[in-house]
Amino acid sequence: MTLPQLPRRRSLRWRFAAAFVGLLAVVVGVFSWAAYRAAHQGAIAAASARLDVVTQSVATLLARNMTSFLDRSRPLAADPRLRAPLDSPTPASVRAAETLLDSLSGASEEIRALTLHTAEGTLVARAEGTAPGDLSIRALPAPPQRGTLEPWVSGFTSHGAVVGFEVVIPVTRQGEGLGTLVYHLAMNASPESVAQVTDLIGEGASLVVGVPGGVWTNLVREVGAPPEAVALPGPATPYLTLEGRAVLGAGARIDRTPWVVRIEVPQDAIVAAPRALLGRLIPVGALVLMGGALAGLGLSHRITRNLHRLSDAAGGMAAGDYQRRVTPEGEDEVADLARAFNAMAERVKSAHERLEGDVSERTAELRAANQELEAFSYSVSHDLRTPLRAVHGFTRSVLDAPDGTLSPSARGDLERVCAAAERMGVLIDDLLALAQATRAQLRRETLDLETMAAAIVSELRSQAPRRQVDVHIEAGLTAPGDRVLVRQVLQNLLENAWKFTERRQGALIEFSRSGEAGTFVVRDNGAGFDSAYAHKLFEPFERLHPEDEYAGSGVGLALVSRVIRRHGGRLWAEGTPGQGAAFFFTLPGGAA
Amino acid sequence: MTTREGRKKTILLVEDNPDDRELTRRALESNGIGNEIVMARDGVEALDYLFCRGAWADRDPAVHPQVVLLDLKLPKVDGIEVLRAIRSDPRTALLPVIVLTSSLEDRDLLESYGSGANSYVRKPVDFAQFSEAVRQLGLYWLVLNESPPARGR
Repeated sequence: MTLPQLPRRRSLRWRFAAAFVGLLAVVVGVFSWAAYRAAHQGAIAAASARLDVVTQSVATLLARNMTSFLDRSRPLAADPRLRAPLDSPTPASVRAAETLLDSLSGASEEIRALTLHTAEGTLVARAEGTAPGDLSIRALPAPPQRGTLEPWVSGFTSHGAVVGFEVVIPVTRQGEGLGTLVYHLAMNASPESVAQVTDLIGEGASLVVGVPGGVWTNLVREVGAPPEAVALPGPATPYLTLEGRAVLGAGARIDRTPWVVRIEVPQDAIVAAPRALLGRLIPVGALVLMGGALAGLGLSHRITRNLHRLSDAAGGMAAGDYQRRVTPEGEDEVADLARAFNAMAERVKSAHERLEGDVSERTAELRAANQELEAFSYSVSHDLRTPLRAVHGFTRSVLDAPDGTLSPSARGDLERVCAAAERMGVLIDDLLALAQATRAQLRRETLDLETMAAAIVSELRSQAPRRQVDVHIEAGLTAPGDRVLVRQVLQNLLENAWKFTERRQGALIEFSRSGEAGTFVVRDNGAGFDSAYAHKLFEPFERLHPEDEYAGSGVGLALVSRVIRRHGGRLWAEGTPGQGAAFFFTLPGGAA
Repeated sequence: MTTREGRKKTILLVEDNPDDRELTRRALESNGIGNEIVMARDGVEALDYLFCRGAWADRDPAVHPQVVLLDLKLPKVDGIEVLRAIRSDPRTALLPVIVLTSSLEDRDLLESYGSGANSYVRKPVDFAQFSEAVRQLGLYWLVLNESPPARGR
């Protein structure tokens, strides 16, 4: 016998390795995720810091440009050619102002127009610039402070394809505002300027300038405003644009203007590096896992190898090989177990040998006892009967003497001698049958108990033809057993029933199945017995009735008991004095 | 009883126990079987008689008993050995042999019939039954049964 192969999912070797790999996978996964998160956050933080600096730099740069423009324009505030038409707008003074404006308007391509207004806002003179866009001059923008005499910059306005703004330079004399010179400018950066800005803020980033609540531009054309939730001037913050792009954006005010510059960097560009790290971590993690799986299998193999050896050895012992031992490796608990197993195997082996020795000894004793019993029965059947026959024969011979030669009392005594010899003959025969039942070899076959019982009953009827006994034998009774011995059982039980119903009117004997399969009962309504003595029924030479009332040696039920026991069955009896007895027996191993 | 030649044939009774010998003799007698009874007290005596040896050396070897009543448990040479010797010798191979014994052991029955006994009768303790058994034996083997033709004649 070998132990059945364990399914893999139940094998300790595989489960251990799987647990090891699972644990490793969790560790590697958590580690990779943490590394990715750290790299991600680091990248965001670095990009934020850089973006803040860049935004501030751009704002400073723009502010410096604007400041320099305003500073350059400052002398115009006191230019007499501008003051004159404001003081007294004569055609000559206006023409002189327009000549100046014309010369100014050619100074930059970003100028759409130049206009001169009185303090009340009336247009006095104008000159066209070269920048594209709507030339109509709408209502002048409101100054940041009423009556300011400092040059200032307006917010943006949309002019079709271009975004425009105004720079307003008050024309003064001795602290009094005479009117205003207005530059109508276009935010129309040249490709070179755009390239410069891109250099500064980095590829992929975008720059917008605008006034909160107003028009926004990317320096070339009008663009949508940043999301409302974002603090426009503020440190770098990640958010989603209105178009749904994830960006990192920062904003800064531009000095001397109401403008805010915002720079947005797509988050994709920022997290590209951590993503790449993750991309490298995954194959590395897979390698670690594969290595871990191999290591786990190896480890689990090492640990379970002793267990497998133990299991093999135990299987061998279970199959009867008591020589099997385990060679433990290492000093761990399993090795301890293996040593304990060896000690146990040693004990089992010696116990087994002792047991086998005992068994063969007992078998020999039993055989010797059986031989003695056989010799005893043999000599009983020969040697005991011979003198008995002489006692009986010669006594009978004396009794056969002619009448008158023996006194009546001598004749009576000799009759008793004869009767005693006859009874002793029966006893010897019964004893021999009992011995036979004990030592005879069992030859089991399926027996027809119904026919067997019917034959016995018909013999009984022929021996006592005058008795009226109602006998019921159930049809189809069969049982496995030895033909000779089981017949003796039925013979004894039926004879008993026959005998103990002889003093009864309406005698009834029944042989049938009872209860479970394989259980039979012989029941009569005869003399019965007191249940208190039931235990004595099956002992040889025990009798529950005086011998002169019912004949018998007291061996019959002992023989029945022995035969049933040898068949592996059970025998028990129920009885009530004067009402009858029932003897139950089982013959296991076949259907009733 | 007489044979076809009108001469009474003998019965050979092989029995070591004198009581049994006497009881058997009486049983035969009381049943009117008057044949001559030759007694042998053990197996050796029985074989000496049958094969005309020892004390029986000058007996007529052509005359055989009508029947042999053979006990099994005998001194020196036991009943089964006697039976085998009878069956193995051509002179006595066809002799009717009745085993007459106390035993009803299976092995005795099997050995007896296996060695060529013609009949196996158990001696009952009850003399009346014993007498009846002997009567029936005599009736069958001495009256009804025809002996095989004797050899050497």
